[in-house]
Amino acid sequence: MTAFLAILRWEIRYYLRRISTWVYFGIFFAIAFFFMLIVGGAFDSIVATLGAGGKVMANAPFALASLLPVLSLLGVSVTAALAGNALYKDYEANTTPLFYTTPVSKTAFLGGRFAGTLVVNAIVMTGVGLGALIATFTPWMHADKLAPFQAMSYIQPYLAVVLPNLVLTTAIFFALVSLTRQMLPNYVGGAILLIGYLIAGTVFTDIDNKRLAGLVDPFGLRAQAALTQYWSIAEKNARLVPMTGVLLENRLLWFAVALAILAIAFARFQFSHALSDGRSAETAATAPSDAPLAVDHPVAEPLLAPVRTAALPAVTQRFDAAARWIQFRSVFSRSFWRIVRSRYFGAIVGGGLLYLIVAARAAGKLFGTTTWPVTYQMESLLSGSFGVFIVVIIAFYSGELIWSERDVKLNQIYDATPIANSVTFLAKFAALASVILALLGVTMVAGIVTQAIHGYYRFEIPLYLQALVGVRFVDYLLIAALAMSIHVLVNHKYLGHLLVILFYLGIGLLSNVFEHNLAQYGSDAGSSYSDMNGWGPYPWPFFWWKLYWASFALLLLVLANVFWVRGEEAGFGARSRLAGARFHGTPRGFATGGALAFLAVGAFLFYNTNILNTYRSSKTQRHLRAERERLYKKYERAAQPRITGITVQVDLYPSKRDAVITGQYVLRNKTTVPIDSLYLDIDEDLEVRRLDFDRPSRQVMADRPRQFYIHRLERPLAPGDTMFMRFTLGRITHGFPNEISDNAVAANGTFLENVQFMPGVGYNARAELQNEDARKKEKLPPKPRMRPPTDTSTWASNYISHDADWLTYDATVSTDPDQLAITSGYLQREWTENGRRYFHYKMDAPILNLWAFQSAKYAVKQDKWKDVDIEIDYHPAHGYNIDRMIAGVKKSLDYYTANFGPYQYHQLRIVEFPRYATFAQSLPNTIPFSESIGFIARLDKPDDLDYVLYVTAHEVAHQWWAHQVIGADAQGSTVLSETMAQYSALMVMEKEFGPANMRRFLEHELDSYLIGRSTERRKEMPLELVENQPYIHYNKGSLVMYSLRDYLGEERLNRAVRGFLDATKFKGPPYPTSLQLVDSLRAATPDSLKYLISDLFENITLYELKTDSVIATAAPGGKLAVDLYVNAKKVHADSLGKEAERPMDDWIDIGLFAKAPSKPDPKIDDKVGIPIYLQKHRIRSGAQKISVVVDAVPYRAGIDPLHKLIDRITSDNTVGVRDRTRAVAVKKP
Amino acid sequence: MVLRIEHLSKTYGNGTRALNDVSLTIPPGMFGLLGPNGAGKSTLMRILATLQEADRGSVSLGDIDVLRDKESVRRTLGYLPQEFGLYPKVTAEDLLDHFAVLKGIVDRAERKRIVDALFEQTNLEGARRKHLGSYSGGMRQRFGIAVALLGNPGLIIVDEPTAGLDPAERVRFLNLLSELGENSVVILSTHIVDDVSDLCSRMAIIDRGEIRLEGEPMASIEAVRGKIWMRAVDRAELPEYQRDFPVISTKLSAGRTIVRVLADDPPAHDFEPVQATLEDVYFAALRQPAAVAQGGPPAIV
Repeated sequence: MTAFLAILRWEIRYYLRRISTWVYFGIFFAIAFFFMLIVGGAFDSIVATLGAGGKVMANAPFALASLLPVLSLLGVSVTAALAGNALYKDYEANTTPLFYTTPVSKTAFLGGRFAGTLVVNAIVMTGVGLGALIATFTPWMHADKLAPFQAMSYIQPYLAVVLPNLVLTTAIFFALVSLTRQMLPNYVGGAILLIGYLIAGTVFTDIDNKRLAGLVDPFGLRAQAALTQYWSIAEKNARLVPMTGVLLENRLLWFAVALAILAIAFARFQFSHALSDGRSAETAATAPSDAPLAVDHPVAEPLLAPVRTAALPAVTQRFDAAARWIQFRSVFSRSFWRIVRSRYFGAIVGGGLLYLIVAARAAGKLFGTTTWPVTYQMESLLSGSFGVFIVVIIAFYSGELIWSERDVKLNQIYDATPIANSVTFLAKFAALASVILALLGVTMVAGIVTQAIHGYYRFEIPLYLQALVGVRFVDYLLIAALAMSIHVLVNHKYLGHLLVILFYLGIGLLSNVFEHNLAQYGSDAGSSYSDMNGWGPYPWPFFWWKLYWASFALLLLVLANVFWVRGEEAGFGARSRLAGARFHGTPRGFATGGALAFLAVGAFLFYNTNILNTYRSSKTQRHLRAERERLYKKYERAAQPRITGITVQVDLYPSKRDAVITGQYVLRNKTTVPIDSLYLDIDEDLEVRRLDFDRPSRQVMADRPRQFYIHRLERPLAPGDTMFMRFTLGRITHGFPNEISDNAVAANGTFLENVQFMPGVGYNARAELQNEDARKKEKLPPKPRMRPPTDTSTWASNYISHDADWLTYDATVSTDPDQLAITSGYLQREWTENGRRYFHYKMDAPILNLWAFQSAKYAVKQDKWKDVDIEIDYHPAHGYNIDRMIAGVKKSLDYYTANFGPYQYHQLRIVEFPRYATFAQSLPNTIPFSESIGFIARLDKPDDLDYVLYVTAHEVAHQWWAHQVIGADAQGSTVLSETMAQYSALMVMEKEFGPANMRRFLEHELDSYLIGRSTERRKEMPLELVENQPYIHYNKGSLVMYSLRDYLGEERLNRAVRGFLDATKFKGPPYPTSLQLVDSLRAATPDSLKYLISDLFENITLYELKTDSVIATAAPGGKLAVDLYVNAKKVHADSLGKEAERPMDDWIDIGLFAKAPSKPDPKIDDKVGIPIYLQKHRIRSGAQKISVVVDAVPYRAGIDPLHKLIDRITSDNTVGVRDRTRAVAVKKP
Repeated sequence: MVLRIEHLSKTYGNGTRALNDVSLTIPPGMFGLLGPNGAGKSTLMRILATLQEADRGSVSLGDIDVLRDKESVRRTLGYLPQEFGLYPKVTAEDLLDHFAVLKGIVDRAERKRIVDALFEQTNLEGARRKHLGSYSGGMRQRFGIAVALLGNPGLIIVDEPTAGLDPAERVRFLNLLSELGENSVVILSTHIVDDVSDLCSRMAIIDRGEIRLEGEPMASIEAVRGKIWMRAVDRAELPEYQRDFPVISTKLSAGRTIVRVLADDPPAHDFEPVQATLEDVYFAALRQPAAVAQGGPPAIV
């Protein structure tokens, strides 16, 4: 014991005296400190939220429980270094015999070393907590982001997660080095553990796997996440993460694993001299080996070898360019093969490929359903998460290459040879580059093999090469240049690794500070591949940006080259002097060239981003929006005419990405006062070539950056009168901006929405800053997200547009001759003129001001449902699901016309657009549909959820629930469109797939809703007052409507819904509100269920339903009496999730189920079973017994077995049935 | 080519004075640099091998300014450091070939010839295809010499090559060294006196960063011939003898301590004259307080 303590003390003192220990501490302190400041709103432009954010305080228990463990994970590399060094320092210094011959026992020795490392490690890790804590006391923290200090919030994450993780990782690395006696496994192992961990999470995104994912996570983060996933804001601010459930199991499991690893390490560790030669394996034989078999000792060698007088053959030494090339090749090939042949490299690549295979399975999954593995998806998979592996390889092997001679102590011999530094350096850089290239080759093969395995045979090799070599390789090369330079300059292997990784992680954060690409190493204006539009506008800007950064990298490489460590002078002063001496001739030439190129290309880029285009930081943009509000909000209530008719001609020039818009508004004064001024809202990027009215007018003000124009009419527009406004606008592409995000007009696949180019009339309050923090920073008054539906002023506009109601629409669009251009309305005429193709569309009934132009080389598939023409316009290679879409349209039309009323158009089109956006949107008789959802969905397995049908049905439903009835611009308006479209789609899907499959879909919806409310930033609203919150109007909406359908019955509900629709369709202003719909539903609800309307729509209601046990006993008549002991609780939550219990007297399902047959049957929900009994019972709050009598023995039973109510823990709703029938039978005789 | 070292000084960051105004002139042939551990031998060797910077002084090899024109030095340099490792999983052949390329021997045929010759000369012919990880200490040293000899260097620096070798390996290694060309400057740094007496035509003794003696081994021995006396004493008597006589070395022999004294005349009646050895020169030189003795007999304290 004393020996143990002595070793422990020695170990701790040893590390505490080392500067690197405190450097590590400092780094963690700094990271946590700055992260906390960021979360606390200290920096204007950076927004980071890890746990915190919105109404969750920066130092809330939940925020700290999320932040501290994640930051401490970065410490894995430090743990690898410390724990490895705990033993390795003896091997390295050859002091093992000294220790091993002392009378210290093996256990005391290893135990002391282990415990010492652990203590030091824990001390280093306190940096995280201290950094976060001290940051909260700085004046930069915003007071409204801080909860009162609570020590346990900091301590709990350490006890629950950080320290147990340290035990585990220290054990792993301690064991690694004690068994291998090498340091390299730790270098690589640390990174693999961390990165592998981070990506392994993607494997467990499936809903059923959350518990399993929580359990197998060695660091417990996913267990903690599973435990807290549905926590409300109030809970996050107040509750410490309890050590229960899956978290407790996880911690126990991994603590046991740590102990087992340690036990193995202790048992296998040879505390003897015999192994002192073990190091020869990696650090070369600096000492003679004791193992005679391993040495090829030329025994026959005579002691006194005959003296050979023969002179060595004469050789010529050459040092010209050709000789340097040969030297380069020699260093290059040896460096390359040394990396590729090492087994750690094999391990990294193997791990990466394994990950790739697993991840490929999950590629593009939506509702658990996969897509076809099209090449761009494979590519983004390869370059996305697999890219992290490549970065790790770059970080580590750049260090290994630079240290390769020094690591084996060959450096003195090497450095004394007449090889130029630049040859060595460049050869090693080239070796690293080739390794990357080889890896990319491997990933390409992996991608192709994956495609083949999945039955996809459209191999686009050129596309792979463009994506992997043309894009990714360039990025990796830049990182490699940086990594090599960092390693040379820092000249400390671990610190170098840490810095490279920190840099890689830091890029993301820094990009918020220096938003301009000119200041972000390696950045570009973006690149994205679309099957439809290829690489689109990205290649040239990409080239220039990379040229810019390549010339910067050249400067780095020159710097690294002159600072190259050669010889024994390691001090920075001496190295600087040497560097100064080396900086002449070629290096100086390259530096000059690099600097010139950097400046010249930089100037060209600046010309493009800031002169040809307008560059604004997000802070400036925010500022402009704030100014716009301050300056012009006074016009919000000014009387303005409304748009009642639109005639527009759009000339699209797809290859130039230009559009010229000539339009005419019919404006009508619907107010009671004459209007003498028009306030126009015109997008800054639009060139106003012409703008006038049918009467003389004067432009009084034009504020282009703030997008506000005032035109004064010489003759005011009288109430009830109509006038015309005519305009020509240019939407012209000049050069390229800092970020290429505008792909509305594309070479193939234009999707240009009206809001992107049409002038708005009147001050648009919806363009004001919404984010509370942003408004606070701009000193703007708080602004409610939406106004209540009881505010009658909200009824004047619908939530789609603030300046138009129902309008007439007439559009002409011209495009390239090989493209088909589409907009809402019916095609009147198509012709070719001046080598361009023209289409004239016209709508025969008023529509909302929501329409778009699309143009591409489409394949067209047509069909008919009754008198409705169905048309799918799609990319010719994306024909997979066209028939499903048509079928979906037909089924939707069937259900909706039968239940809601007639379809108002006689044509319905689905039109594909490139994946720059990933949604489908319903416009009048036209549904733009992204290429990435649905078109490439793969639905060949019977249990795949057909989301093509779902999305199609949802969008078709909007033709009723948006284009017939449109809500006022108030809270709850999206209930009328999104929630009702969800309900409609659910009904279509249920008809198609049966109720058993709906439960799976609704499970996703429940999960999404609960996670959504948990991550709400402002306040959760009841459904009827939803403020455009997707998790409420989509996910909760589905649950609520499905549940209501269950209580009321489909027919009764649809009758109520149809009544509402009939009363409100094509109406407005005043526009209807959600309250009207809820009233209709309430009217259709029997009194006994009226509470439901309140619970579902007017409150945030959560149930806690649980079945404790179910006992089946024999009953007279061969029947079974089943007693269910259930527990029920209902709460109403406020907007932050604070809960108040409500007494229950509710009707809730009680269900008994037989086991599902082992053979899967789509009609039967295999998770629930075959229902024997399913009836609603009156349930009170608290524990109670429910008794039912049935014929057959149930297998599982419980309360709300099909999860129709919102309950955070659904797994305890049902339990297995205890069958007491036989037990009773035995007793009887 | 002559290597001329003039007023060379080097002080480390921690204040250690490794070299203090060292001046030496080294003609072609084997030159022994003798000194105890920490005397500054390796620092001097590393400066000569272009791996370290000097604070002051100059070094020239023929026309080459060694301290500034490192590139030219490296072209004609063969260096075997005191401690070095080799890639364990690389064959000797491959690594030697690689170093031949690094030394500018880029012609494939020439390279093969020199590599073959060096393996033969270093007696590693049979082990050339083995991984270097399996080499014994002596084999590694000989491989190191093979690397150093690539490209017929004009300056060969061999730093403590025999430390850690067993007697047989040492003999083999010294045999190899003895064959090194007459036309090159060969500097053998060592703390083993016998290495120098066996091999070197000239030598210098260095201690605490300063040259204590420079000359030919034979001449140096000649200078103390007849001045070395010895006596066997009891251990208890040793302090007394050390106080009273200029003892240069003590050695245990059969349980008694043999004391050797440097003196012109018999120091006492019971001392007997012995044959002077280079070791006596070495120990005598180390006992000097300072001031370089150039070739002449060491001054007596």
